[in-house]
Amino acid sequence: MTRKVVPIVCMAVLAVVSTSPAADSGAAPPLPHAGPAISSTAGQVLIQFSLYRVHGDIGGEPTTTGLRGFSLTDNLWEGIEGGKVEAIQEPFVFFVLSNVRVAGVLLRANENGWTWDGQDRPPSGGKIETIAAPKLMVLPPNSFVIEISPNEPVQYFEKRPDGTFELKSLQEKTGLSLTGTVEKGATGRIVLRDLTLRFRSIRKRKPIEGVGLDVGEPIFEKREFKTTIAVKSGREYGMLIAGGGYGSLILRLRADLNGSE
Amino acid sequence: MDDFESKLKRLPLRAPSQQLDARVAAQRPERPIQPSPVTWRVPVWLAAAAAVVMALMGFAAGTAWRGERRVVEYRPSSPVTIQVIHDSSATGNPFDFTRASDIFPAGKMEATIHTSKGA
Repeated sequence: MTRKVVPIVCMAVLAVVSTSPAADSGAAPPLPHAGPAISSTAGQVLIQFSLYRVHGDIGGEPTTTGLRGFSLTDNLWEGIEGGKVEAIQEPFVFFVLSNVRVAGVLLRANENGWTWDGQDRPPSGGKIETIAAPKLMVLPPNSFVIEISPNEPVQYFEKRPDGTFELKSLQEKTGLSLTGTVEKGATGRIVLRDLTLRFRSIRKRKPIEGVGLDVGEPIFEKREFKTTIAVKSGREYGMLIAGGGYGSLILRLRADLNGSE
Repeated sequence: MDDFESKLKRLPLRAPSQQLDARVAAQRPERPIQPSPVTWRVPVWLAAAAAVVMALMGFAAGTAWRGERRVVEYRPSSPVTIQVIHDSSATGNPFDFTRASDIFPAGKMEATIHTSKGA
């Protein structure tokens, strides 16, 4: 059987020409979740977190929307399509305004800042402990990860058969992590997309027979909260995280566009 | 068929001339004519392989031309990561929401338990 070689050579030449880089010069399609393109004038965002541990009660009264004394006067979901709290397992209360007693300390929060009994910081040696206050600079769109954990192992007592008690330690981790992606919102706000708070804590301890103290083997609890919010630059927001046991956590958040404080 | 055609049909045919064949054969060139490239013979398997390769190249060329399978590599920048190790040796585990957070203030401790009877 005779085959023509010249047409084959012509097809090969045509194929090579068609697959050359010059034929692939079209614009790239938009990428999912890539965020807006970074221009030369795009600014950085300074994000400041403060995490407080409250060893005591919150003075507000519980209501259907949170605690009386805490108010959210800002629409955190402005300009976010479908923006809403996606999962709430325990009360995670956002607030902007506060006028409540936290472990005996009056926490006043408004657009100008927070004060603890009139001071910038919680009173030292009291029942409000500043666990961490990380700051990070992010060039949107970019994501961040913050992990806060204690360095000491978890301890508990175990009753021996002879009636004495042994102090034991566990290597299981407790702590809190915050992840999210910083973007520039359409309405001038700073969008914290998929802001995820993972929280591993000790909520209860197994009782020890004959012992009235809460020193038994810990029962760990893991909770997760995820949402997308849009915050105003320079405004401070609070988030009350109920520990489910004794005390709670308060997360303070502030984002500044272009790093201006 | 008319008369003229009938007469032509009845005429005897002349036998092939041996001299003419010899004269034509003598005019052939001594060296055989080289076959043209367009008449090269190629094996069937080679033609089939070439067809498959051309089909694949043509498909790739068409796809690249339409841009349907353009591969765009997207490498998001790595996240800004902060890890905070809280010194809980003095204040206890801040993520312990039991009363034990007030009882275990230090990482290393010695405990003595006294049991006393009430009055």
